[in-house]
Amino acid sequence: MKRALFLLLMSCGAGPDDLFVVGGRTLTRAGEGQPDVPLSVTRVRGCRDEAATRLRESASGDGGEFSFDFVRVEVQSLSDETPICTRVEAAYPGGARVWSRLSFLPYRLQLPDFTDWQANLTLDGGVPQLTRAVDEQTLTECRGTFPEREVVEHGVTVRTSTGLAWEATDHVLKNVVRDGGFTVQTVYEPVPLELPPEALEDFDVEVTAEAKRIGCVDVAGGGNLGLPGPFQVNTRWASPGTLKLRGTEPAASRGGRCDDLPEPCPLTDGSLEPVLFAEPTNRFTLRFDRPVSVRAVAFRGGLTDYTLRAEELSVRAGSDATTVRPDGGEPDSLDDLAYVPNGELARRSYRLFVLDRRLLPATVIELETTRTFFGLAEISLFE
Amino acid sequence: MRAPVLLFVLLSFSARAQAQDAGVITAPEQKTPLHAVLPPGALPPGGRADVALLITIAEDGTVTDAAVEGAPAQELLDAARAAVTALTFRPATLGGQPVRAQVRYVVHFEAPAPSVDAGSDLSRLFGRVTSKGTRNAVATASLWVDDAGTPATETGADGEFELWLPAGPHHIEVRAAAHAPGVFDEALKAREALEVTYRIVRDVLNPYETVVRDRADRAEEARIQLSGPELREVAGTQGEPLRVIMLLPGVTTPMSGISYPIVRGASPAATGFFLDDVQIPQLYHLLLGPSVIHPDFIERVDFYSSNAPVRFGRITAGVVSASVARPRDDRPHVSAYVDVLNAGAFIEVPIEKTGTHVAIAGRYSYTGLVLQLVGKALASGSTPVADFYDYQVRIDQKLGPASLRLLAFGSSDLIGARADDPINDPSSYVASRFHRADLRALVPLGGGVLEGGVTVGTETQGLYNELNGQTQASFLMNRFTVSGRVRYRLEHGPFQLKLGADLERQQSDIGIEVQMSASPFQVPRTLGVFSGAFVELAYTDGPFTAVAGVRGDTFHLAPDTWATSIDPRLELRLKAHDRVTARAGAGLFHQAPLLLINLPVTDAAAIKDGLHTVVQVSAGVEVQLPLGLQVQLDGFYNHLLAARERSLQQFASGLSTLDDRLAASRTGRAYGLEVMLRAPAKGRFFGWLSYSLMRSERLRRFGVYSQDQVLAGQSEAMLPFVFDQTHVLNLVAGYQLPYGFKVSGTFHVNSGRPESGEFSSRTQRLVQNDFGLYQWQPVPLDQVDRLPPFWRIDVRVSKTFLLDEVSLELYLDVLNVAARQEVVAYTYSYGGVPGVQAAVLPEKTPSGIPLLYPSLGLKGSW
Repeated sequence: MKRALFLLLMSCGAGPDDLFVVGGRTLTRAGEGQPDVPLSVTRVRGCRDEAATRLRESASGDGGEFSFDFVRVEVQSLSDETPICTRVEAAYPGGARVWSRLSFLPYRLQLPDFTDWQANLTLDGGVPQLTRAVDEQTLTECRGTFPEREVVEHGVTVRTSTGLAWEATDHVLKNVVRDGGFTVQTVYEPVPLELPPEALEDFDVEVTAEAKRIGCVDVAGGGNLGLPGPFQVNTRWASPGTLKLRGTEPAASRGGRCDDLPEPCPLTDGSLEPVLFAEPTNRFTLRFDRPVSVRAVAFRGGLTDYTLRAEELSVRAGSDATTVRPDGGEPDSLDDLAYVPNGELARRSYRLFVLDRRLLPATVIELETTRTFFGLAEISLFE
Repeated sequence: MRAPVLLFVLLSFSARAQAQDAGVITAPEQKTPLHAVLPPGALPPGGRADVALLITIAEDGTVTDAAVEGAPAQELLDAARAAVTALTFRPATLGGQPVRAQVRYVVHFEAPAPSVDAGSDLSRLFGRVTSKGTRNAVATASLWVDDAGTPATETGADGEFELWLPAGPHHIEVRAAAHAPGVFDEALKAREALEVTYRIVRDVLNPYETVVRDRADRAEEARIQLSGPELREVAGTQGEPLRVIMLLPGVTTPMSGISYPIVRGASPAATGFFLDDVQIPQLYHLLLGPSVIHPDFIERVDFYSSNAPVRFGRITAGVVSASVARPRDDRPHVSAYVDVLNAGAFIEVPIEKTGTHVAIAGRYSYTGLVLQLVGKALASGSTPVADFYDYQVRIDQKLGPASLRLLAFGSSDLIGARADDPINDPSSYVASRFHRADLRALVPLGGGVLEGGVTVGTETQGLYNELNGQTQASFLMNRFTVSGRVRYRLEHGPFQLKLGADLERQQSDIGIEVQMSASPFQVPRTLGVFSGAFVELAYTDGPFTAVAGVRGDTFHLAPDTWATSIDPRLELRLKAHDRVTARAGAGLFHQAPLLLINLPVTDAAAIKDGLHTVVQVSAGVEVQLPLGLQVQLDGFYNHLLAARERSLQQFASGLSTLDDRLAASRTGRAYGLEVMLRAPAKGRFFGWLSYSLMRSERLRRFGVYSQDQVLAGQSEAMLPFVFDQTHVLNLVAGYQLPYGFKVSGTFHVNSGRPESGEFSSRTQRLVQNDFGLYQWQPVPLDQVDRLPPFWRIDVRVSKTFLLDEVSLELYLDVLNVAARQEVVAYTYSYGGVPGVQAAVLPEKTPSGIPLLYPSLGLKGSW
């Protein structure tokens, strides 16, 4: 009988002509509607920015309001194999960019307000200083989504001519034990924003300030029986203005050979183009013509699974080896979700492991992490 | 010789008079006595015989015709006819006006009996002849004694007889029309009086009185009039007259076996269901179960596939109008049945003293017991639920020339899955229930008949979950209606005038409980007021009849949304030849925006979108063929000037489509041909073959895109409607075998609906992805396939047992006896050999339900 009911009510199946409406407002820093802000919508096939297709262009109305209509064929994969993300972006005249990238688009979505932002980024002894993008008092409680209250993160991104070299935020994700040990809860925990010298390596970089609001809204069709329900939607900011710097920490790994990867090894070539592995892996073996004495290891542009877990890195250098277990939680990525080609959800990560000591010099360095990588842009070893 | 005894029996009006459903009818009253003379020697001493005549009484009270219905001898017929044509009557009246009427008039002759004296050996044998299994008297049955060459006597209208016979054994044979001869042996003692009851068996067991026809008004003749076994013995209908509609031409269904009629390609919600003009939200339990009205409560079913009379307002497609059985004043009537899923009963009691008549009917399912066993057998963690009940009450009261009637009826369905562990697992249900109470008065007024009625009703439809006895989530649509109507009908010469008005107030809301979300959202609540007025004039001149009418309606959604409509309609009929009748009709029809099926809230809430507007044009011809066969050919074209058919998906989930953007300007059309070849139920055989060739289309808007999902643009085209079925064929046949056995079979075949994603899956094609693998991807709306054709066979076998005054019928009715599965969707997936092969092999798997519905039951009538 249940099957009969299902078949009889099958008229509610998804169709390629289903309509999706996304709206929002562009506001000034003071919270007033800002008209004529250029807007664009791109379809990001595979949720990787490099495969974006421009879908719409428009500008906000008199009160700053905007709205876009799409059909399912534009914003969702009909074959359910290659995910599609939809990115709605506002480009403020002052240079700020605000966007939301949605891996799942509900039927009717009113985005949290886009507001202008000038971060006025400076570095004070290598520590980023910036103004906040969102007034904390505008954040709301969330029901049915994680986290239970909206969170705003700030961070910096470090870009080279070949890609993203580093990303640092002022929040980490970590599990905390509560109720006397009976429950484990994941929280966003504030931490100082830092930009270690290894992040810049010896690249010529542009450092920009970015922000993310992990927000929540009620949307149509998100709840039971097609009723409104909770939905998480992130808003991203990129502030105008960049700091042009040159790194001072050359990587000893540059030019090293990688087992199971072609030469020159794309993980040590200094290019930050991401590499997708044929099989996910958590082991890397690097070979060098001269012995390397490893002090720190940076993983750049890692695509890892989304599960939060205790991270460890084991490094073997010839007869020497060590394991580091950072306990500060996992730095949250400012970037939204990422997908790997097989459709699995992935997290983009930039991670620096400073070893407890400098290892003995060796020409073969073996790395093993508790985190499995679907892909990676660069591994940097520092002496 | 005793003087002839006169007996006058008014049995019934003619079929023409019966059709005057809303008027107060008075029978003709005899003014002058009957002087009939028994021809000498025509009957033996003590013998009796009846002559039955069908006499026509003109408006002035004179007898203008006396057709013979039955007479044992010409001399008796001549004597009776001479006496009857000399009579004068006070004429019958309809609404106070004299009308011509046909009356069955029986003249009873009885020869004087010999006197019983001490020296005589004659004995008196007297009693009654009845039809076995009933309490119905058999009139004009002849009794033959000891194989004599002529009958000794005949029964009177009350079935009684009297014979004077010598003492000793006698062989009595009773012969009557439509009955098998009955033979009885008696041993009489001298000067003894012996009272007997002779029960004889009908040739054709046909105790049913319900009639289905597709025209009810007296100014029109029925196009299809089904009766008796054509309604109760059609295989696959479980003996339900209302389900026979599904086998008539022009009728399809969302899925074979589902009894939701789609008439001439219209949305199911465009067809209205009425019980004595009281609209009801559904006709059948559980979509495929028995009707919500007990069969014995229904006297007639009128089915209008198009051009419904103007009294039916705010409906744009077919009308199914069931008429409550009129009170029978002769005696109490009782029937009851039990089958594997439910039991029902009907009781009808006349109270002569007060002029009151009460009828009560109802049924109750015990599917829970059956399905509980099924659920345990399947060990699925839950037990299927399919419970239902219905009830009907009718109280008629005569008030002088007027009459008052209270009609109350209701129904409840509950289907779903009850968790075996209700503490930890949720149970899910779909509920549908309604209740109606209608008070109607008929009053003669100014030469016509005035009808007034008030109806109140409630209904609830929706779904809910339960966990640990608490409602976890619910979505229930409720409607409370109050309506009133007033109508007046007047006849004058060849004209018939009808006037009427109605008003309906609907208050609807959606009750929502969602435990998981505390999100604030608006609960839909609507107040709709619908009103209408109509006038209809019918003109009849010999073989020609014209019926012209116009109806005006207002649709109001509180507080400030209004819509109005004017619907002119015309119907013409010409009996061009004794065997050929032609007819044609056209009309304009309006309805509030409609969803797939009739649900609370959905229509009134969308009035702001405009009215659903349809022009109906149809023409047909009916030809009487040799061997009593009939053939009918009809063509129709329905143009949807404004197709306001709301998307179920949009209503249920809030998800709109490109096509919904077209809702405010959508048009459509439906056209087709219907053929029906019928052998009406006469004797032991009945059957028909119906075939419909139809096309129903709607203007649709859809996206045109490439394989890599690049939207090239939008397109509009006239595409097949979600329920469009090009070919539908039904073959129905039944035969009554000896010894009370009856068999019938139904063969149904239909071509497939579009696989458009509405009430089905959406056609998908294989495309290559970035990695060279083939994947399923839905196609644009104008490229969808059709679901495959489907056929099924239904069978019914029954055996009637006739006890003295009770008849029992044991029946087995099986819908889809071959358990064939109609494909209603496809599943597009990826297969592979687990552990060996990746799940990358595209597979297209048909999905469907083998709707096998066996019904084994026993029905008794008294």
